[in-house]
Amino acid sequence: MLLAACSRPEHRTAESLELSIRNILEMPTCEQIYRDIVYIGEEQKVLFIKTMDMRLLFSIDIRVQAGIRQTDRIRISLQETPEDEKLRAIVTMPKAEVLYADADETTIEQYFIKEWGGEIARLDYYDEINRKKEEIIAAAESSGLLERADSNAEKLIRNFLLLANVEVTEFRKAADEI
Amino acid sequence: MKSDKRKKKRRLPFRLILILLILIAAAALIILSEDIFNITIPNPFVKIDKTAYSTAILEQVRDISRLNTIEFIYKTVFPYDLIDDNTDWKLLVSRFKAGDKLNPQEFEMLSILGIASEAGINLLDESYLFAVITAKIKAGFDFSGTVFESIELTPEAVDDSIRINREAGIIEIKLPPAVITEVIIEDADSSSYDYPDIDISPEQWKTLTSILSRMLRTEASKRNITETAERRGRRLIEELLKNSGYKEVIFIE
Repeated sequence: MLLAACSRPEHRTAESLELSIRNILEMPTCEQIYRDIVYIGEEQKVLFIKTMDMRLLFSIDIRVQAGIRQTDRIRISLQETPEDEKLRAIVTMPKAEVLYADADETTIEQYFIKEWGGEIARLDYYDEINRKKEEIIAAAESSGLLERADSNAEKLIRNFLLLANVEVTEFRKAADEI
Repeated sequence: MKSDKRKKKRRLPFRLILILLILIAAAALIILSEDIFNITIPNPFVKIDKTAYSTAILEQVRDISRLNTIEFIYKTVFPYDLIDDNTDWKLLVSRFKAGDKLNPQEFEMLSILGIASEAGINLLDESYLFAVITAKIKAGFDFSGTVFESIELTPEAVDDSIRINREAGIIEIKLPPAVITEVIIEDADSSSYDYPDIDISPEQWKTLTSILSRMLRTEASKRNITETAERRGRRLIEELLKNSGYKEVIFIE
């Protein structure tokens, strides 16, 4: 009975992957890519005799993406203009923010791995990556990521409206109105 | 003199046994305190040195012009969600060893078998190890290289993308096709990952996640993610253009 309870799960196909769908309206406009070089080491000695020696060195890119999160909050207020002139508008939009910071697994470069007397688990190195992420986000923000994301978002909206024959005279931040 | 020597000889093993008993009791206390009482007493016999360092440098700054309108979140169980039900593992391995020509899907299954095996999961036999992986797929419009990103592009390109009939209040607009803009494998974190972990090297993890990304892209396409993304994106753009004074917005196919 115990064996039956512990029987191996049935193999499933891609169609059975658990899935949820979320509507989002975000406009990513700038991305910074950081190369993170990670070293993990663990050594164990019992009565001065080495019983475990594990070392790992690899690099991975961390992508920090910024942009406008709720683009449905973009408001266009048309200004009164003479009939023959281009339409003019004031655009109000939310401030740019960090949309996500995530390790890009496709960029992993493993330099060496030594597993003697033990094995390195996935969370061992992901915890180190996650620990570093906060610092990377702070560095990205202080190096002007959000300002550039803001300016790129404004450029995209300005171009879009200019093509529709509307000239943007001013951009206002949605938070400023509160 | 003789009786004194005999006494000394008797005392020595007794002391030795006593010391050994104390050492055994100390070791048992250390082990039990950790396992039963969940208290950690510094173990003088075992020395563990753990080191973890990382340094990050800014490598690239990239301007992007996207509008993401939908996100699919997948939770998959490695390796069980990635493998084909009908795979006869033993036959596949023997065919590979015999030098038979395998198709791309069979190669992928073989690759998953190898990664699973390295992670201690033996698909040829009973195995109860696994990893739960969360992945996000985003879809929407990528405006890179279009007139919406660089209005300085040729007038023909502008004419192809936008036609305006101001008197009638009609605007015709051609958007780029909706695409999958991002496939993100969420970074696992020990503070939120409650399942047992798997022993897998970064190199193997890279191979595994690339197979998974490919599968999820196919899966998302099957579920028409780009069509849903396009519908939502069009709705937003239509609203923006109507707020800009147009009565009717026509999307050019």
